[in-house]
Amino acid sequence: MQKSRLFGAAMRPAIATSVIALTLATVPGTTVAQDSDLQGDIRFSWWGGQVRNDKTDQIIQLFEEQHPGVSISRENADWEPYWQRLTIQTTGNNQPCAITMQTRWLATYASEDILMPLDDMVADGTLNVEGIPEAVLESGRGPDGNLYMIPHGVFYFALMYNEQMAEAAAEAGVERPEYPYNWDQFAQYLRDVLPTLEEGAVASHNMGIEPDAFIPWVQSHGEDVFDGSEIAFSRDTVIEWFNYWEALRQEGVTEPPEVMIEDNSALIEQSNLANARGFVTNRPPNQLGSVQTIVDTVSPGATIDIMPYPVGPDGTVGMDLGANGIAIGANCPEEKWPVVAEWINFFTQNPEAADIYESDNGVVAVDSLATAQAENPDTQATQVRHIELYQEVGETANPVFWPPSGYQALDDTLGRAYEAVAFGSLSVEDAADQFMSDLQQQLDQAASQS
Amino acid sequence: MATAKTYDPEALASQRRQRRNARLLRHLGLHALLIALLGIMLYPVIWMIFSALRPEQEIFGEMGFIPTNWTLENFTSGWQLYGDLTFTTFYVNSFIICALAILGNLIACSMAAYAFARLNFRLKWLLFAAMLTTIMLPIHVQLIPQYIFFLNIGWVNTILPLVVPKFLATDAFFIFLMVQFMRSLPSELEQAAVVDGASYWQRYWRIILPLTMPALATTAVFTFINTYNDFFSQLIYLTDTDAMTVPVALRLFLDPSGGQSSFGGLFAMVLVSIGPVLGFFIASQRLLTKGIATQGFK
Repeated sequence: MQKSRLFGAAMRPAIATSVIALTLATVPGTTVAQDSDLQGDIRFSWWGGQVRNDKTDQIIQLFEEQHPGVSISRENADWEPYWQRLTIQTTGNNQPCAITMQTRWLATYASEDILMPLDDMVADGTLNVEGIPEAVLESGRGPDGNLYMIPHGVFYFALMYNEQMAEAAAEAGVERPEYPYNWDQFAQYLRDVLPTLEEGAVASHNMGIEPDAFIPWVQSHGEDVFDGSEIAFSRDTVIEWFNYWEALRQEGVTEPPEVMIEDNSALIEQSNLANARGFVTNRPPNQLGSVQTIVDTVSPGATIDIMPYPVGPDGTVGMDLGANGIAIGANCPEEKWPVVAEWINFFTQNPEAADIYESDNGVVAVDSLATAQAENPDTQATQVRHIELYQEVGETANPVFWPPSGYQALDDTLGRAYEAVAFGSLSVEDAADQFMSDLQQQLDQAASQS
Repeated sequence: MATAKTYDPEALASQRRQRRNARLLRHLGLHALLIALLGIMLYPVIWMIFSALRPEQEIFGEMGFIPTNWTLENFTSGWQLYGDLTFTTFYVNSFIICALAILGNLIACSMAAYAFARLNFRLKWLLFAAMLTTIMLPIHVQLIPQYIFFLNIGWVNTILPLVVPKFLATDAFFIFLMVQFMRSLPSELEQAAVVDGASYWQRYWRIILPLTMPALATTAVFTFINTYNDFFSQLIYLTDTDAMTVPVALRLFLDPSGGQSSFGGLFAMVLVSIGPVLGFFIASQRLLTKGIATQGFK
């Protein structure tokens, strides 16, 4: 009683929050007793399919059980409508208090009148970021340097391949290159594997059109992808990239252009990888579980595994990394801050919540939770592999700093330029020029709108 | 003689048989072609029906068109979206919005149409033109101002922004439809009512409205289909999951961002959700025909 007189009513939730956050961070696996001090209702929005919705709902229920005075209204939508709705909500200053955010989209929303800068809340311990690697936390910063998002799941990029094909090739005398292999060694490996494959199969998807593969190429050649809203890579790097894939395509190592354009955009079920018609492709490793499930029915007996992107000629690692996390709406009233902060801490740090979520939207950001998940015998083998590779190479990753609409612009312009090369309508040099001018134009346009 | 042969009854009969066979063959060919075309058009729907009825993991795995293992599991798992949320809630929400939207459009649009078709007032043509230009205004232009307006009066996350405007005759297309229809009605009917001392209201309610039945039915059908299928405004105005409607909920089965999608539940629920539209269309088709039949006196 005395204590509550000492601290004003307004301070109480904040103190409770910090205490709970500390407890959670230091004693893994502890279930917090009911906290009746925390009061209020907040809106929380996220994107996802049925599986993720179910998991998120369970975590919210758990949180509400532990905080009887708190109620969280659920606002969820599918990926694309999610961003459309958020954009409209921000125009009316009606965004939810807790907003699921992603590094690739952050720049579009990262301003103080849309999202709340979180540095102060992290500094005073209201938001607990313990165990989140520095590089991952940094990916939650906006172009103005403010921290706008607390990451809860990390996504990274890697190559996906058919393990049986690699074994068959090894039996035929084609040795697997040991990581860190460079781009030339990787290309040579693909060339060597090709004759060991069945008739009609290709050694690799033609990644000339894929931004997820182009980024590690650029970064492993010692260049940045963007500098603010400017292109930071050189024309020569683009020309070399196009030439790299053109050579492989002409040798029959990759599929013809008409298959290339739909191989990764189509359903996993129809891809060359799933149908044992392709050895390597570039799907995000967080899809490993769903790809393996589908491969089990489409090509029973095949195992799909992941490997890192090649390194540059001097050994530079070019891997990109991004994060999904939670941001706070700038319109969120001050009396709700303790609830939002507590909810973010719960979602990112609570072991029970992490167990329910099972790294559904990227490898859980807190290292100890990721290790626990990888060591848990109940975790799916594909998920364990997903976490393991992240822990092996994640530290060397170099997160791309995305300008507004940067990813969409890169995806659009790179695809168009390389398609023109592969279909023979543009020379490599002309396509590189077109790609760079189109990309810069789109970036300028987005920058002027934001 | 050659002519005698022409009148040979047997030859005639055989000729007739031949002609009949040829015609039968032609008809058979035509029908086979039509059935084949119908098959091509319905193939995706039939594939979806079979997919809804087979175990989830076999949807893309199994090559055969007809499932080897039949199950209704997709319907039960799909109906229960997640947590306590079921499609019962979404259907109730959708139907409430549809019913109010239909009511609003029928009342408000028919009144506005009556005024434009039969009454004389100042600036009538200017107002009519102004109303028509609203059809040409793209939805994207109105989206954000409308959202901010409804937000400021506290209507976001309620069904009010979706139904109240319908009671203010905002669907210019339906007004136009009814105006055109009312203009085709004989004015003598109304003049007779005037002689009997009927007021504007009585003329609208007793004479014009019953005769406008076909246009009203069309309005009801299209309002229902438009409202039931409307995804975007329901997405932005009804944010709470408990307030979600069928089209918004259907999008929650898939995760194109790389998470797990449940196609089984999606196909099953899409199949169920087609039911009301199809049912409403079939039911109101009779009304449409009836309405046209009453027009026969013209």
